[in-house]
Amino acid sequence: MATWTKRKSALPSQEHDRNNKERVPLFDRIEETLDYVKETFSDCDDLTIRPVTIGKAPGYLLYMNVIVNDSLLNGIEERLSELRHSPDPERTDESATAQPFDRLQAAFPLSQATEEDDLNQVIDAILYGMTVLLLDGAPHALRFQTVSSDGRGVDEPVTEQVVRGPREGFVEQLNTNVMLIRRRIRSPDLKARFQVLGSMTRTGVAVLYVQGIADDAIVHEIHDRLRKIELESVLESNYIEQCLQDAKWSPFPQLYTSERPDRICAGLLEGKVAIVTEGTPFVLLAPALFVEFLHSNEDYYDGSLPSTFIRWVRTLGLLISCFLPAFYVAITTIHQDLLQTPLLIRISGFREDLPYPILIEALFMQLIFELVREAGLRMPKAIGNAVTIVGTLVIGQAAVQAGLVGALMVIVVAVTALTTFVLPNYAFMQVVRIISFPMLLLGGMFGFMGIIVGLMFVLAHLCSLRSVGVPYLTPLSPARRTGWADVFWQSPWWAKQTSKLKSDSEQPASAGPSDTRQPQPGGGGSS
Amino acid sequence: MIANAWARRMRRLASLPCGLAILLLTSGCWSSTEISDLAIITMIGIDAAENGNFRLSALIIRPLGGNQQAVSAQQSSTTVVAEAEGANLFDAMRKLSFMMSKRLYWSHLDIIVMSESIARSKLAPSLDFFNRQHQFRKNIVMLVTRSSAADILKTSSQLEGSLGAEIHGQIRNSRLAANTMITDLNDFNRSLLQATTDHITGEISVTKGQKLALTVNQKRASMVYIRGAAVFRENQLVGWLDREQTRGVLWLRGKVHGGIAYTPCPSGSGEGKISYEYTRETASVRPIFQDSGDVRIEAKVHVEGGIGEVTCPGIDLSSDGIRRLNDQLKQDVTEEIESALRLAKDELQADVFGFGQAIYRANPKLWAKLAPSWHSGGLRELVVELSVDADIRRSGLMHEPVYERGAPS
Amino acid sequence: MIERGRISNIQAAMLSIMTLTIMGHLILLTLVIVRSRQDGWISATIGTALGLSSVFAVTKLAQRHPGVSLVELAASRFRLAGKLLAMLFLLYFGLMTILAVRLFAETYSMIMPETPFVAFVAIILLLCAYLVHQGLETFGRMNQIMLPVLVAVAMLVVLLTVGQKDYGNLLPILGRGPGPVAAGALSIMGWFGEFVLMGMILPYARHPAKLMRYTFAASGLTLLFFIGPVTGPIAMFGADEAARLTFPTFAEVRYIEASDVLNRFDAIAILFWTVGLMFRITVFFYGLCLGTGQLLKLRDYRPLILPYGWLLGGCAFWFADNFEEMSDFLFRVYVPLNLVFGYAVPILLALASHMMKKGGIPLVANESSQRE
Repeated sequence: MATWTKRKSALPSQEHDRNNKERVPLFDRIEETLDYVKETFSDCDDLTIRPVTIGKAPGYLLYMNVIVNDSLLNGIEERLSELRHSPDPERTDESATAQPFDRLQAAFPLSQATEEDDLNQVIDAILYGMTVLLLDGAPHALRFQTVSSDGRGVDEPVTEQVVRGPREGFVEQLNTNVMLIRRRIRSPDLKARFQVLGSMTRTGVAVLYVQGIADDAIVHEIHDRLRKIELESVLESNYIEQCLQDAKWSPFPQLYTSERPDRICAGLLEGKVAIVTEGTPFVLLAPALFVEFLHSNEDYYDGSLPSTFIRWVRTLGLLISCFLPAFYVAITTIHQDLLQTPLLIRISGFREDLPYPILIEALFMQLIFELVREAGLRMPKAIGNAVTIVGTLVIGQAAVQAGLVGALMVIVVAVTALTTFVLPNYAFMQVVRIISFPMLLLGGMFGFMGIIVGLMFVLAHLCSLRSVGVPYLTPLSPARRTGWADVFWQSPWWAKQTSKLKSDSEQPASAGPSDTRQPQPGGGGSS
Repeated sequence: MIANAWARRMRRLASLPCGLAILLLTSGCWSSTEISDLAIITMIGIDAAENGNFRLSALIIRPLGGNQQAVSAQQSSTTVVAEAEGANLFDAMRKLSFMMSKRLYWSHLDIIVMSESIARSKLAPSLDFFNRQHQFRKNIVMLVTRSSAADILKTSSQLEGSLGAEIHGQIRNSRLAANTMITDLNDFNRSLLQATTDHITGEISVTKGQKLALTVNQKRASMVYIRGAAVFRENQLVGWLDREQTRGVLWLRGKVHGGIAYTPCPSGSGEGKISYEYTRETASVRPIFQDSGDVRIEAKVHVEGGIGEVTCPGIDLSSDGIRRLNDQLKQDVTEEIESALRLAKDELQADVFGFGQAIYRANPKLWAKLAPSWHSGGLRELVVELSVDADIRRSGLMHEPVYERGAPS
Repeated sequence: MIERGRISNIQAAMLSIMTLTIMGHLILLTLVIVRSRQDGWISATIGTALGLSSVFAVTKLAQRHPGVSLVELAASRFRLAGKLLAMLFLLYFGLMTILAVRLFAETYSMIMPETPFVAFVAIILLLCAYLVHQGLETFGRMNQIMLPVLVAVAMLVVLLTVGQKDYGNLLPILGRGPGPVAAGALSIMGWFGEFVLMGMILPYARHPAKLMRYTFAASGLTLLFFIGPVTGPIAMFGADEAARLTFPTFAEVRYIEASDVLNRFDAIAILFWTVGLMFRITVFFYGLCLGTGQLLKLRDYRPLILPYGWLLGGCAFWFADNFEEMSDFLFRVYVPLNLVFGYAVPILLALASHMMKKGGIPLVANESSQRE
């Protein structure tokens, strides 16, 4: 970890392949090459091998017919047949084999054809959907761009919908996603490095950042960590996210995910690094701060005053959803003297003849609600929402009337559940659900003191958490006054100051992938 | 290295479940009690029984249960009065719990009613119990009654859901009516510990249906009400004050925020009464130290009020007339204060006015000299210079009385 | 040298405020009120002024030897005597931790009497062990967040209830002469002696040069925060009764009413005590673990946390038989103990360090080796 401050060397080269296979050169005889390829692709019926002849040299066209774009392939084949049938002006015997290759190269524009002499790369190319031409006697194989780029069209993101703002969302294709970002930040300072992760899935990953705004240390750190990922499959950005986290076991998300290009670009312009993963519309942003998970996209598009108000409401919602059931249980079982007398009498009346203690009831109702919520996710969309709401209410009401739970408990749990939806970030919502259960137990056992102890545990955890080296609770602590504008209120755009995120030079409490303590001179960062 | 790091981390991770297990095994929910297991006590009454025993009566709220729609306040609970006798209060409490199926819950107690005999002789021992136990809050209201405290508790509440709420409402109103001063446990403690003040607190009693009558559902009903005050001296009840005398004390304490008085019409304006409504007052009580070592109290009271009701036919309400009424008001207030002084200071020798405290704050050395004989003549001999100032500011919505015949002058 | 983290000056100052204040509000109050009655605020001011000497000495030592904690300094200077001194310091820290844990358990046993004592000891030690494990930076940051919250809540409560207090109870000033005031001032001085704990933390501040003004400001703020509790219960209950209460601030908080609705503020008291005592125990515990690690020249102090936790938890039981005995300790032993460890030792150390520096004698092995 200490070495990143000293390194100024180049970043890892493009298309750095984790597998690090050795280079296998083309065989001299084309049949051997072909056999090698056939053996590698044994039992792959979708590999098509078409023999072609260019001039006098035999050759083979190799492609995976399920991946290639048919029209592009047709175009290539037409050019090849043109070449075959066109008369060759200069024909001499010595260069009989060489000539066809040169003519081939000349016939195709560079954007369409590249040469390659490493067999592994050739196999890679076939897997990516390119068409490979092996020509007897040619020093290189030729790769044609026939990758099909069909997929979902750019549409409104499913999980993050806003009232005002662009309606574009990321898709599963890497190039499209990077294009969406490039269109918004038109500056050469927006750097993009491409990488391949996952030994089996060979997923394309793009790392974008704006040089000059992003902290070099953070960029280096992220590249470092990406390089250290040794996974077989990278199917979703979550795989990468979990490997990039500082604290592996923390329930708090340490990288921000979003489906919206405008959100990602806003983050890039604040100095964050974006990681785009092929195959998923969810793009990662690192480093992430606690306060950002309480921001919603609409904060940036609505006015300053409403946004400030709603931000406070959201924070209140966060607190309520974590602590309300615990408070209710604590007050009604241990701290009854904190209630007003009429309220106490009313609650006591409600709880006459109820069989179970309040703590059990609370746990039970919370569990029921979690079950209903999960079930609602799996139901078909048409009936999903209705069933969730109606189901909870009806079950709750029926339970109350059957005399199993108290009416007040149903209200408390319903309010809690509702307020969890106030949180704009899905990952954060999960956190709340996880936290509320231990809080409930602590509150039931130790009363207010237990809740405060639980809160302190969580706070301590948050204080020690880092996201790629940046303390999670910045700008609250360590206190950075310029950042307060975004925490406590939403300043209008004309008044915004960008506060650059700096990676602290403090020793991280729970270090990243290399978990050894190395001595480091203190001081150096700003306080 | 790696094995060590892993082992270390595993050990660290394991310590958390161990800790939690220890916690769960040792603690359990020992402090938690279900609300429905609590017998909520809101008022208690202390009477004297034979052989020096204490008779404790407790007003327990019994909520009507079920999860039906919210019922009105009156029907949401019934009350139960439980009585028990014991050698001291703690003992009586214990005996009370013998007949309870729920746990006695004292943290919501906010009114204590003492019978006269307890207040006369056994106040101090009673109070220790309430101070020591942590469940009792210090703002418990103390009231005295001439009859038996248990009877007060057994009176049913008419306008509110529970007796406690009813009494609290009356106390709240009485602040505006300025007919009594209610003190709480905290104040009583202070008078227990410091010799500088004595206290008065409200006297509670049951309507007998004469001057104050209440009819509920076509039947005469009796209700509690607060009437006057009880005077304590050195933690013993020594006498009673009626409403006017109580107000006299309140004048000097600066606690009159409302209230009504009436006087006969000024001479020459016919038969009838004129009523004043007090709106504000300020009072200052200052000790004046003389060279001879004596001390006098200088008390100044400034009263503001308005005219409430006029039944004098020929009354003059011009500014001159108002000035004359001011004088009359001033006299009335002075009389009230003096009658209170006569009773409390001279006769009962209870320092409910805060004279001793004023002297102590200004000159503790002198107070140390005066303190021993304060209640046995010192207070009585204290000279109080009283000066009252009255100001009638408003006369309501009208100038002249309603029925004044003829044109306004 | 085993603590590599650094905290900012403000965080260090805030830690000192929190550690001292909670003790003052909870327990020291009783000492002062009993001794000086209504003149507590005068004795507090005088005591604080005198206490600045300890603050000065400790801060000067931290400034002169950045990165070297007090225990480390003592252990590495005089061969045997220094190590003995260091061990005594560790004993002192341990004692203070035990006192704080015991206080926590006693207080909560009063509020929730059915829960067994051991549960409170266990839960607070678990929490504080976790915090010490996370390290100086973590609880420094936590404190930075929680202290303003507590102050804001306290201000709110004071504002809402200022009408119920009769500050006339604070008269007569100096009614009983200067004697009680002096006794109270001595207690306050003793209380400020705890500042020596910061000798384990201040050396890890980022900007040692500016440290002095921060610590002095912190002392001033501690005094300011103390004035409220030392006058409040007296204003509310009168001096005599306030002197008899075991927990004056708790009684005060229970009595106040903001309105018909907001009238039970017990929860505020619970918040303050839990958070305040948690930080206090954490800081003392940290000083103990770190000091032991430095004395024994360990690589890391974290393995010490669990064993010390068990030890301290057990000692919290044996510490006193009942509340009265603990009260006795506070009245008789606490002040002299702090005067020794908080004043005598740091001032001597600071003087010695000053003289040695003047004389050119190397203080810490690796510090001067570069110079020669």
